[in-house]
Amino acid sequence: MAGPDPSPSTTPETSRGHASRIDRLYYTRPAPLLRGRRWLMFLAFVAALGWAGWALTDKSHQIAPGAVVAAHATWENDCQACHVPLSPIREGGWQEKVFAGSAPHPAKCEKCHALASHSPRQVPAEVGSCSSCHVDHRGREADISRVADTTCTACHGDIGAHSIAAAGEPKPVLPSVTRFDADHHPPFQSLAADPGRVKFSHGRHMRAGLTLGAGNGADKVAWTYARLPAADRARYVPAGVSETDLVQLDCAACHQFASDIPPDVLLGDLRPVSALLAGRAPGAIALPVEFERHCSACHQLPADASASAETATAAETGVAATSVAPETSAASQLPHGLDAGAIRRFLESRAVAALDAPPGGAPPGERPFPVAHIPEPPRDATSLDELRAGVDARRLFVRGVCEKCHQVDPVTLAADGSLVAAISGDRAPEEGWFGVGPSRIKMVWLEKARFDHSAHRSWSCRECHAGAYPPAMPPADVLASSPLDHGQVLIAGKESCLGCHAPRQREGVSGREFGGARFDCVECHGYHGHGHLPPLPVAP
Amino acid sequence: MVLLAVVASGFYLAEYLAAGRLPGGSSRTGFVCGVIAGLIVVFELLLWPRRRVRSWRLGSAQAWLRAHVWLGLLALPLALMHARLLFIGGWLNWALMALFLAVIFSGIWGLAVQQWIPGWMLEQVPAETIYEQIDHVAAQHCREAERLVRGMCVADPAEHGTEHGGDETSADPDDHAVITGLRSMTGIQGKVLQVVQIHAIIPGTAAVRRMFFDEVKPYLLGGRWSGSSLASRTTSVRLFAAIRGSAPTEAEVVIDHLERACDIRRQFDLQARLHGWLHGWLLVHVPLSVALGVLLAMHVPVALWYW
Repeated sequence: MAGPDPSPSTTPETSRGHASRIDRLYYTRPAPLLRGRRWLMFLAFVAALGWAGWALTDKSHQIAPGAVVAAHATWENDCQACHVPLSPIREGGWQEKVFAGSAPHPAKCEKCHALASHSPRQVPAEVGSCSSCHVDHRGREADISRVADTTCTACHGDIGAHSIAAAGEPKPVLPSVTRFDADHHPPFQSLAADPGRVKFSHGRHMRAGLTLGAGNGADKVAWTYARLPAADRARYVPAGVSETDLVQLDCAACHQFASDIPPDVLLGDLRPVSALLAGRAPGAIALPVEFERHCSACHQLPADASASAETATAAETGVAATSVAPETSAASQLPHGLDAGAIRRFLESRAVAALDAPPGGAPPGERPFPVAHIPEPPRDATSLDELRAGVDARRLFVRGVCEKCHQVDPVTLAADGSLVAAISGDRAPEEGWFGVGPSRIKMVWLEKARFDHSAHRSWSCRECHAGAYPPAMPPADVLASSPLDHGQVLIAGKESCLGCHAPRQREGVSGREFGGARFDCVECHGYHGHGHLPPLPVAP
Repeated sequence: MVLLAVVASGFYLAEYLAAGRLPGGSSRTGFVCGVIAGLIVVFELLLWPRRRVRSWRLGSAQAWLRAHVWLGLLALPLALMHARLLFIGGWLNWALMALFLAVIFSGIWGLAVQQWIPGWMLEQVPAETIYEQIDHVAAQHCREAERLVRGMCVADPAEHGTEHGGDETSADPDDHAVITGLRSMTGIQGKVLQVVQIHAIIPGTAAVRRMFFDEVKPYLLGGRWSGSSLASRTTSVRLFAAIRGSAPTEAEVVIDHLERACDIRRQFDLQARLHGWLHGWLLVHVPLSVALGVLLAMHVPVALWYW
């Protein structure tokens, strides 16, 4: 702190000296604090300008609020790949309403993401842009498809006020949803009824020996592994189990997943359902049950009474069905999956072959189906009547075989393609035939939601499919009540989900903790075309 | 201001509950908050030109300062809501927010010290002078004391030929010195000017003279930066008590004045320290405000360009 010259003075003080007590020009010399402040202001100004310039050259770090998701990383530094200058990226947002002059944001997202609309019942004015739900710039690993529940409940919380009638349809009455719990989410509508037409008893097939229990008539002979064809035995017999033991199936015996099938057979086997599996985890849904793969080991399809007797004899004697010569066995079996016309053609050809066969000769089943040529038809009326009788007998028999598992529908067939009509010259439509309609077994039960079996593989199947298991003690009058369960939905409802997919909480009495798994809307539901799912396929 | 902040918070909370996520700067409430906060920052920055150009008759300085303080406080919640309660990204945004918070909190600190230190200074520094005049006044006091010492104290023979020696004033009945003193009256202290007659050299005061040149003068000129032990009041009292014991009674007026001069100098030291506290925050507040203004000018067009 420099001051005036303090040189010693011994001269008397004067009025000038008194006046010099105050430095009248002190304000012309800036104080150190003020000088420092000015320097710092200059430095701060320069530094801020430098930072601003840096920001213009490094937009991805400086201007973007965060890294874009990994799928968009290619355009990390190309802001205008998604943004349009001076145009809000949230199309339909408040900005457009307030700033009426701002141009609508072109849908740049849709250049790559062409997705189906959500619903024809949406109010068009309420449909926002992609970014109104999907917020990017939240980091490479962010899941921008996991949107907040409020983006759904904004409409579904009061769906009546946020939906319109689709073209040509009345406005539906839909339940509102505000969250997934017992009170604010409706029951799963997809599980309301089972449209399946295949008669089936899960309980019987899950019981050892595949019986309904002792003393139940036709089911006295329990199934052992020895009764299965040798080709199928390796697949069904568990390790360490004797072939004389009773067959014990489990869920996986019929319900297989893509992840269970060896890769070498995977593509060919899954081609029919590839569209269904697209976009799903390999173990997400069970593959369709097929007769040839899952049923035929036990369920022979005898084409007539003689083939039935052959199979029954083999079964009752405990000899494997395949002990019969393979070609004979195959020819005596009705192929699975025929329509009514094909059934008629098959049975007529067997009836003709039976007439051709010499007495005591080879069985008629030697002619494979489809027949390579039409046998020489009988010419006399007696033979024609025998042929008709043979066809009718086989038709009745095979109808019974089909009706064991299927609901059959009466069908009237045209004379075209009928051997009997060709022989008799009768061109009148033939009544009394039958057809087996589609099984209508759902491949995907939760049509408007996602469920991944592989994500739940640590749980027992029984947790959600308890109805598919036989009761511990079979009721004595089990036959009195139908054992068939094809009309029942054997999938638990949302209550079974709520044990895990709920907020973490503690049960009052037991103190058991439950919940904690995610339960937001997008955990199960998709928005675009119901989660990319194609229309629900129906098994033939 | 409080009402406005509460209303804005209410809208923000409502939008948060409706959207299920914190509204950001492009949300309805966030955008409005950002616009208001930005305008407030611009207004705050106008205080500087307003002070530089005092001829502007746009309200009183007091009104400007009050508005500066209260609007600045209001800008804090608005900016936080605009910035999604600090859940923001982008280095530019973070730099802007860091500057904003530093400016706001340095301003709050300055506001606090401005409320407390002046009153404390009034009590503790009755000899307060204009901060920029401290060195000048201290030198003046030094000259007064030196004149008194040279006129009334015996020169030390050992000092002959040094800057301390010689120039003794011969006794002149009309000679006098004007010295600065402190006077306390009804609890109020203040500086006064006193006239002291210089009658003659007082024998036996060589030690007083030696103490002045060795201890007192360096301290009066350099203050606490001189490293003198007189910067401590306790040491000063002890030293002057010792010198009183060895000096004749007639020298009491000289010793009293030297002690008072040292006391005033200590008050100047305290005043300088308090002045640093009182105005030092401006070294942070003002330069960062400049940087804030620059980055804000960058933020607005960039945010609108890519919103």
